[in-house]
Amino acid sequence: MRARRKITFPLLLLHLLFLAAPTLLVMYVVIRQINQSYTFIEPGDFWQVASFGIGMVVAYIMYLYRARFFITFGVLLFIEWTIYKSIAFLPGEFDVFFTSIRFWYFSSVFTTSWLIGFGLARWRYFPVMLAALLLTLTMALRADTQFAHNSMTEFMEYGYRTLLPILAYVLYMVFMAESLRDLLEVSAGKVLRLSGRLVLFLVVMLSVFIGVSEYLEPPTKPFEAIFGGGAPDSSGGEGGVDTSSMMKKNPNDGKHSMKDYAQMKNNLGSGGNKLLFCAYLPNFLGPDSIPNPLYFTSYYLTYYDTAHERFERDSMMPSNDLFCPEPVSIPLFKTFTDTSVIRKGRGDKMRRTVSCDIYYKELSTRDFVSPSTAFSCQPITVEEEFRKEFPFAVKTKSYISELNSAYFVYNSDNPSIKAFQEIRFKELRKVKNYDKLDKEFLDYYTTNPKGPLFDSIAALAKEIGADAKTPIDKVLAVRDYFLSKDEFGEPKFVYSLQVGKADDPNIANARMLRTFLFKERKGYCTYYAGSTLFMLRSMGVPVRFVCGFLTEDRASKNKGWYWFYSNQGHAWVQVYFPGYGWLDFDTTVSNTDQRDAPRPDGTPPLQPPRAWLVVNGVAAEDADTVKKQIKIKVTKGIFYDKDFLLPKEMEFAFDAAQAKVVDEKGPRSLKEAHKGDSILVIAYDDASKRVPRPTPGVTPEQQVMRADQPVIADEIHLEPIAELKKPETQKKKPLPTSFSWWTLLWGGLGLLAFLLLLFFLIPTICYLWYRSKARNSKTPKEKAYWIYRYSMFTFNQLGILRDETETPLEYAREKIDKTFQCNFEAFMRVYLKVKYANLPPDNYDEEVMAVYLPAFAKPVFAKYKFHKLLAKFLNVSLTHRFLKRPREEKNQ
Amino acid sequence: MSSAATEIHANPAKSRSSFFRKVNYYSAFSVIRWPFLLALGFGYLAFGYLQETYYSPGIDNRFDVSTRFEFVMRHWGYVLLWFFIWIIIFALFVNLVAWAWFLLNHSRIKSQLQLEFGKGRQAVAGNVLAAIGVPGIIRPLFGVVKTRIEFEGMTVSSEIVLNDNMRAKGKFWRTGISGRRFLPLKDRREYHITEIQFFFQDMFRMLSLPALVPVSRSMYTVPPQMPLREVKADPNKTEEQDIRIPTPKRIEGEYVNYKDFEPGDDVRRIVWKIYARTRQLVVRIPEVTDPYASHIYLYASFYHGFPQGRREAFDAELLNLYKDQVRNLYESLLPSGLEVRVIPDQDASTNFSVEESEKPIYYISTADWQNQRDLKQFVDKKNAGVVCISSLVPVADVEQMLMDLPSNVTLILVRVSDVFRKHRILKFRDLFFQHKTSDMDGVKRAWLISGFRRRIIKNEKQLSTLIKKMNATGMTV
Repeated sequence: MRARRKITFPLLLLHLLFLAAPTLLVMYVVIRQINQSYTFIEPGDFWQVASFGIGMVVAYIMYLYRARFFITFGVLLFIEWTIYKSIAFLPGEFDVFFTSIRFWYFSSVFTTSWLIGFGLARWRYFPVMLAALLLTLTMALRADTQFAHNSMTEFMEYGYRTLLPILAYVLYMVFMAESLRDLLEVSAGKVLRLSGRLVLFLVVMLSVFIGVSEYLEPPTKPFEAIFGGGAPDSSGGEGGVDTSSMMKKNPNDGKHSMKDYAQMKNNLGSGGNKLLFCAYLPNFLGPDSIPNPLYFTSYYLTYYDTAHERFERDSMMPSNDLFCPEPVSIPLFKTFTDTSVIRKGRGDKMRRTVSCDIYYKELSTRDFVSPSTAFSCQPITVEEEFRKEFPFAVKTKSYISELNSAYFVYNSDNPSIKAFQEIRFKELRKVKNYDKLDKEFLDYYTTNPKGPLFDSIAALAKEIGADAKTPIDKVLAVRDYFLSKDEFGEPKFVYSLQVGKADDPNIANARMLRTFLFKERKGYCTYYAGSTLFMLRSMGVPVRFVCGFLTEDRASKNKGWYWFYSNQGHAWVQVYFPGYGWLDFDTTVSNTDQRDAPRPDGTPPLQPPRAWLVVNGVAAEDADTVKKQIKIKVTKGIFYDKDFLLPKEMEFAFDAAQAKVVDEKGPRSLKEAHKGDSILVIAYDDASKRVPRPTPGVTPEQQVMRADQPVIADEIHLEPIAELKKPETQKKKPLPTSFSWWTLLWGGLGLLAFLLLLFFLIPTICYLWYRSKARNSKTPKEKAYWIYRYSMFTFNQLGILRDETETPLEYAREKIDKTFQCNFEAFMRVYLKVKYANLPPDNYDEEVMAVYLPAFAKPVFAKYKFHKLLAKFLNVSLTHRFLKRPREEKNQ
Repeated sequence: MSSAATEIHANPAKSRSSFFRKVNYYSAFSVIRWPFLLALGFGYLAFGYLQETYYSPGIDNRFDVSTRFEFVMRHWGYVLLWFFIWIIIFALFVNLVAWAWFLLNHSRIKSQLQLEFGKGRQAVAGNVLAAIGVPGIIRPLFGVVKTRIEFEGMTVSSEIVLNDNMRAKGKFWRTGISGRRFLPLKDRREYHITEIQFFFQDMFRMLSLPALVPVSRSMYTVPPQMPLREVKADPNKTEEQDIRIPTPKRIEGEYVNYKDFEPGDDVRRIVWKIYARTRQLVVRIPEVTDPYASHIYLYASFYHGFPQGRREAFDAELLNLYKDQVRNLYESLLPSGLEVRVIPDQDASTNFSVEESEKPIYYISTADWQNQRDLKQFVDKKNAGVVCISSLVPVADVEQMLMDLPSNVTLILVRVSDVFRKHRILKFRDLFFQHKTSDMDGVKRAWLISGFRRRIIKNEKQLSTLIKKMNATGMTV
């Protein structure tokens, strides 16, 4: 008796509005993501979505009205094939190729949309499938492509921009598809009711989502530190400085963090000459190998928050090319890379990759500094004799610009430096304007806040840069303005740390800049950088504020080694030049404190050789102190900077004769390595050893498995993962409650399972309850009643029901006793007598009941096999059928 | 996990064994429905695919930006997982509340349950509007309550969604919920409703909590009305002498029709030809044999003279057709002004106390093929005015009957072989669009190649020949 649904026109409109339109919206999100992930021949989001929409709607309508799929889809494919082939007859080889590729792409989109339209129209549960497919697709796309930078915010953005719409779509489609399916007739009232329910439904979903994301702490919290800053700081910050910076990392390692060195003013005091780190930067000029220093970047400030009157880091800045991992969280020799920042740096002219070894001393090991644009970070070991001074070191890689040499950036009167800088300016004068730059990017980096102050800065900039035509000339005009002298031959601007009030923020805000530019003309680097930013932006030059370290080449003995003291913390600007990317410009007037103070450069640490094998495993047995060997079960490790994962656990023998055994507290002896200990072993690529060379075309796994054993180990770290675990354990402590998300998960599932179990146990519970009542009734009358209920419940559950035409005695005799021989008729006589004759049971009756009850269940259940009995006693509907008519039963 | 509703007749093309019938029936009571299983299945597959493709256990992917999938999965997977869990718990909870409320108020709800078909308990066969109103029920928040009507023999209707509100006049709050739907009750017969099945489904239709309300109600469907046709029939039965209906009737013999003119006779009836020849005034006697005949007895025989076989679906369709024609015949006789009585050839159903005027239609609707009472036993030659037979009656029976019947009795032969006469002609549009399918498509195809059909057609031909040969008054429809 299957009733058919008739698709009326109003119903069709509702389907299109409530099913097809949301699908199109979600597909817009997906298509946009596909376009971001893969490169096509500029198809344009709009045209793709339009193509998709047309295909889906046409197919949806056609198949809703019962079009034949195979024939219509075949016709569609044929038409597409014909057009594709016809394109070959177009003139122009390139045009043909270009057009055919575009057509291929669009027809793929159209065909996909056609299939989706078909699915939506014909398959009831297609929305569930489609939603799962889209969710998987977006996650796969995300997993295939790289995140722009390392911020937690980007993961959140990804969730909110991509996953959430799809998730909302999943729930919406399941809800709405079924609701529409239930809607057989359309009336204004029904549509209004449906819309109202939908709105309420979305509100509830949103509330639950907010509740979940607010009150549950994801297990990924410990990773936030790894992925660096970018998450907005809700604490409000201190002193109005950039509050979304690395300050959030709360470096409790007793070291100085970038927070301190962003406070440019304060670090020049008593602690101003603390050595923070030293770096080996093998970047040299010319055949004479003249050291070519580069400024070390920490982070960028790109947005001025007028509400809080401060510069802000903005993880949403277009083409975010900031790479800021937390170095200490990366395991030794593990390479943490993000090459997408290179693309987002938007510059490849005169650029190349350099590596840099950074040895941390007083700088927090959670801070990352490197010449821009850094894209790789690998913690490396430090030679033992230097470990006390430099407990931690990383090797970084940066895609640097040859136009970013510090000699190009310094403001110096040295004629040779000036002449050298002209090379850069000449090159950059090739950039005439920003006409070809995309609008979003240009607008973001050239937007100034509104207000009289910014207008006056703009007016000043206009005056300064009146004659400047090219971007570089505008930059130079600003720089020269700060370096210029007044009519008395005195510098217009002077460098001073003694400016403003004691509680002024370290990074100058707009109020301070007004005083700086138009009144006192005294300030330190952030004043110059901030003013430069506003002036250049008012002239239409994309610029950003950079915090980092000024690099000074003082190393006469050790070429390429640079030493960074606390007062080298610096602020400058980066200006964007199309093709060249972001280039450093420093407009701070000469600062003798920072540049010229003689610093005692120490002895650079010895660079350890490259590790060819690093494995992390578990000791298979206690170390053999006689042979000086240790066997380790290994599944993963690093082979010449490449990760490997063995197909199965392998036992590796290491020769520890020359190895240094350490744990986090210091040197240990080999005998302290016991079976089951977690052990990290490092073997260096040393010319004195026979080590396998990396072979191209062979996987690291195969090469590792072929390596000769025992492998000569150079360092053995016991429990090396302890440090990594710290953040997690620290994070777990402040949890407000004792439950974990696993507890909640299993709790929720357990509750669900319990409810289901309870549901199916209802018949059994009822049976036991009736049996208990029958056994424990005190008066004979009650006993008769409960035995009757008990018996009837059992028969009901077994599916033996009394027909309406049957008398109770007939039923007992013909149906029950003939089948089970349980003497039910005798009992029924007693029961009916008690019930209708209103007489108390006599001794005979009581005897009948006493005999009947214990002997009842056995012969009845003996007639059924266990699985059948189980099936019958799991059938809740039968119980329900019985329970719902107690009165009828009583009135028999 | 809904199941396809069971067809009311066994369909030869789609006949299902009792086992599958039961599986279908009981699967409707499954608490877990397809969306739940699909969500789990697709979720598992999707997660498995992503895990397999992008995640390598043992490698700390979180340190490799190019495969940061693990992080995404861990963070968003966590949030989404909990979100889904809470939503499902919420959906389940509100559903459970509504379900528990229903069970607690079961007796009251049962007593107030409203169930109507067409005009209440009677409807024209075909798509019958069934309306269910359930006062005092709670609908799960964002969820839905669906019902299915169970007819005797484990036959259930399609789902009727209770998505309308019942409100007392002038009151804002609803007093209950109702729903209606056209159900295909094509057989003209009585339907006994044994149970209303309720299903409480959550907002995502993942879980369906069943609740049953046994009812004992009946309804019947009547054959649809068709354009009336002209049927010539003589009343042969007088039940009351106070009604005189002069009805012309043909009588054989010379001069039988004339009598001598008497005063009072209508002069217009004088036969002047006879006066010219014999100079006697004679008048034509009105052709009235029984001046008091006032009723037409319609003998509609439901005799099925073919041997029994596995052709319930055919028989049901033939019966529907025959009933339609009998109703049409009955209604075509009514305008004559005579009282038409339908004489039953079987015990009439007594489940409904219908008004006297509706009894013939009720009888026609509820009658069934029978093979106990043939024409000889059934048709009373004294009273019969019209005899209606189907082409399932053996020729010999009809021949025997015609020999006994007066010549003025009208014999109507209903050609039941025309049951599926409307065969669809394929059009160009059909190449691209499926035509509207029907549950009867299979039966139609089976009918076309059925030997039963050939035997009926042969019987029909013989009957037609016989009627002509016997020069009987009658018609074939």
